[in-house]
Amino acid sequence: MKITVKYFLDFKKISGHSKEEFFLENDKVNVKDIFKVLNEKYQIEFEKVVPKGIVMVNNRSINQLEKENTILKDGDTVIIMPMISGG
Amino acid sequence: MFSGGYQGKYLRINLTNKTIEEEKINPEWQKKFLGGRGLAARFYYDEIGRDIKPLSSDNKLIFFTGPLTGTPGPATTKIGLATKSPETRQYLCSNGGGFFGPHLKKSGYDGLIIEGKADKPVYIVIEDDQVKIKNGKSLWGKTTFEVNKILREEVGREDQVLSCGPAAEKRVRLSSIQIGERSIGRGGAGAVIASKNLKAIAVKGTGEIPISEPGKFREVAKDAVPFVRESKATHTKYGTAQYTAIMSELGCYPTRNFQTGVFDGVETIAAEYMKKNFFIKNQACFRCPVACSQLCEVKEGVFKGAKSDPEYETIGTLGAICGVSDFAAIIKANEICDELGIDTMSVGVIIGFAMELFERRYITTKDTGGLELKFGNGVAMVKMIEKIARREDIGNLLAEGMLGIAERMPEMKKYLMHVKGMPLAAYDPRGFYGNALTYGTSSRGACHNVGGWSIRDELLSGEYDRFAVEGKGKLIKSIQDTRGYIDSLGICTVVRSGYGFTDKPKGRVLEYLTGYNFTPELMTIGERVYNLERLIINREGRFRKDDMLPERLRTEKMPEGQAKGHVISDEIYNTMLDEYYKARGWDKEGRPTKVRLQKLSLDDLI
Repeated sequence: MKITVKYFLDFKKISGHSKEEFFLENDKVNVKDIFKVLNEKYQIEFEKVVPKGIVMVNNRSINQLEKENTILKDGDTVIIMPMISGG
Repeated sequence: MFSGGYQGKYLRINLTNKTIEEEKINPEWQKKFLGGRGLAARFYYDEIGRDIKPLSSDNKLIFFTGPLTGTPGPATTKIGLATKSPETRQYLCSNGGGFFGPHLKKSGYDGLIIEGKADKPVYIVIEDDQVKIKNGKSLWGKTTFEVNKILREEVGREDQVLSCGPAAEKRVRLSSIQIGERSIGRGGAGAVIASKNLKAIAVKGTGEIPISEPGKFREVAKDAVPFVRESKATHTKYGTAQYTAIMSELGCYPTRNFQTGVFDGVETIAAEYMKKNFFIKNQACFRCPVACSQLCEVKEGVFKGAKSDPEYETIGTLGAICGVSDFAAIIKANEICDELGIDTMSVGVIIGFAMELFERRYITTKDTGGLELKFGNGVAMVKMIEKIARREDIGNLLAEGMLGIAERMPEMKKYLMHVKGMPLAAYDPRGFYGNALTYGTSSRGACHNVGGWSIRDELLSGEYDRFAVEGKGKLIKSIQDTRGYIDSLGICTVVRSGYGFTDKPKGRVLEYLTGYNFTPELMTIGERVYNLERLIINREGRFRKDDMLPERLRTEKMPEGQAKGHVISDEIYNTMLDEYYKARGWDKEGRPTKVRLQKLSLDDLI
């Protein structure tokens, strides 16, 4: 299945991309699985991202879904961005 | 009652009689409304009646610092202002950073009320207890940059000077007050100052601000700094511009006068692009460890040499709302706005409106003085700001603000993006439903701050889905009440959590400062401030009918992006509004009930 990952600000800097596509062989993939790939490739660890950043699947934060267990479907987009706090 | 945090008195300057009086502040009012926005609103309630016209000599400028202003804590920079707004023709609260507020407090005054009208141009200099009204003839006609530079010689720094620009002298209803490069931007307060023949106020304070327990206060304030530095590191790195690309991705980035929520030109106005191509240095307000202001300079091209520090809202309104993807044009537009004294946000939304009329051929180059005022034309946008400031061509009408335009062009109302005369900010509520209530119920008209910035909660909280209807009334009330007390403290909202100031306030900083344990009462104080403001705007004729959103947001579905297909229908909006009124204890028309006012100890105002 194809998963698109979009990176913002610091995560864009770390990965060197604003957008990247991953093709995964396993049919049952969740957010944690995609982070395994990101950790291997860029050392972007889920546990380190989540307290200070935001992870979304399509147009929802994973906090409003099943968090790291949120199941990904073919064609889904995962978005990783720093925490927002207004101002 | 207080053993620190307040000087206990304010200055009342009457420009008609040229009298300067020191008056005591009722400490009961400080206990109930803290300072800043809350205290200024309390004075407004008594002193600026329903029938007072914004640009008449009867209107007043009521400035108040908060207990934390000028103290040795992080970002204790703010001063609040209440006045009748020329832009919205109702109550306005606004605030500004820089060094003006701290120096006023160090001069020995918690606040300053300006009333009357001078018979010829004047400016005011406050140096501790020496207060003088001086001849301002030579300053009249000058830009804010020129005035601030001249008066810097008298007081020390440009941001100890508060001034209005040429736009205010022309009574442009979007005029700002400038404090150095910081602005008291929204609502047209610059025109109120100019209408009094007052060009500027410069202040230099060298005194002490009393602190109840100095050792403990300094310790707590010092401890807040590393937390603020770390938690706001992205603010330091990118400023509020960090949100530009994110909001477009989230599908709530108003583009081409709110016709869509995704800006195809976002890459060249995003934070990284700004940083790489234009950034010079960070700038800080008084005692701020974050220094979020990103000073930028245009290094080549038609706008070469322009310098300013565009923030998220400025980039959104002068950028995406006008369809402009040329960051150099945004820097230039921001610079001109600061120089001439115009609110970047209001002018951006109003030019976005004019661009839509131009593209739909309701107006032509005959109206614009030859400008091809199309979306994306940054040069035309910059020139139109100058025309608004000078009231030339259609700029004369646009200078009247949303309400003035609606009166003169009633058939174009559907393209006017405002609530209560205040242009919207750079968020589209079709992407975050709570934001609809933010704009609708904000005390000063469509404001993302006073109305309660809900994006984070709606995005992250497991409790409030961004497209859910239920729960938003309660959420927005809580954010508004939090903001109500934060704006009354005298600190910048960016650093609030460093002090423990959230919707569940904690910590002892206010106790160590004032000797009074405000902390358990802060959310009630915020709610009290919000209800006081509602009483004021009710008195000025604003009820449920005025809490409604612009037609476009109610009838046009978002065409693309993450919020595709969403619209804030009347059914959705009224359901949220009913819930909000209920949470507030207001009746169906948006009037605070006696029971709620009694609960908030506001029954003396019933």
